[in-house]
Amino acid sequence: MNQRDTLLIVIRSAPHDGIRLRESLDALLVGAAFGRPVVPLFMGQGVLALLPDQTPGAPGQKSTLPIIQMLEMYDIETLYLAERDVTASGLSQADFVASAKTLDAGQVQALFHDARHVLTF
Amino acid sequence: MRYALLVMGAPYSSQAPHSALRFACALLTQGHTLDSVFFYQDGVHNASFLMTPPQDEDNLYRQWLALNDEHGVALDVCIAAALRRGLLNEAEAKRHGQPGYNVAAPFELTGLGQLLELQQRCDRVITFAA
Repeated sequence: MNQRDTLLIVIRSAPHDGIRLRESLDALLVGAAFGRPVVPLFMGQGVLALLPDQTPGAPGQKSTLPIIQMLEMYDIETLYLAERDVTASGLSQADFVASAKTLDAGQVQALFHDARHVLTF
Repeated sequence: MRYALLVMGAPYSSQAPHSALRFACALLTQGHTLDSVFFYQDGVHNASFLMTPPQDEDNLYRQWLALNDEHGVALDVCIAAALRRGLLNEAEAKRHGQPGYNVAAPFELTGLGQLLELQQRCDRVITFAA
């Protein structure tokens, strides 16, 4: 991937950690709306954001899963997961939404290297 | 170099704004340019002019004002994050029928897109996470 103008957005928050994940995803959407190539990387607790069977939380707490599912409409087709954090949660790529793809440490490093800009939430 | 700062922590509850201010001063002392500070997530709480710490303590609000006043640093606050957390300027208070407001110039309520623009126009964006 060349450094065209790629914005790498690193998300480390799990669902229902207050509004944190939702606001991180908003940054993804804004980047895409601005027509920039946006690459999402979910690390740490953030891998849980890509689990497919999420429900809304306690009364009033919306699920972020609909936003994840809608990213494709914004030309964000692949959602990257750090393999190390997937394994640490006792899961594997098959447990996540279809557009999720796990990356090993070297590939994660490459994502950072190839990005023009990085934002971490 | 031209810098921008991204502040995501609330004053006093988080060390982030304090560290950001110290970093800002160090940058300016070294002769760099500080273009803007962008406040997102809990960082929006830095924009409240009602912040009233004890007299003998750090007044972070006044320190942000000084950055703007003495060095022309823009102070941009994500409007969605601000409204959600009860940080409103006069216009937004009127728009939403709220009885009061706590944000005024030089803090500006703006969109998240402004952060992306800062990344394009600055050499470095330094994040101070909560």
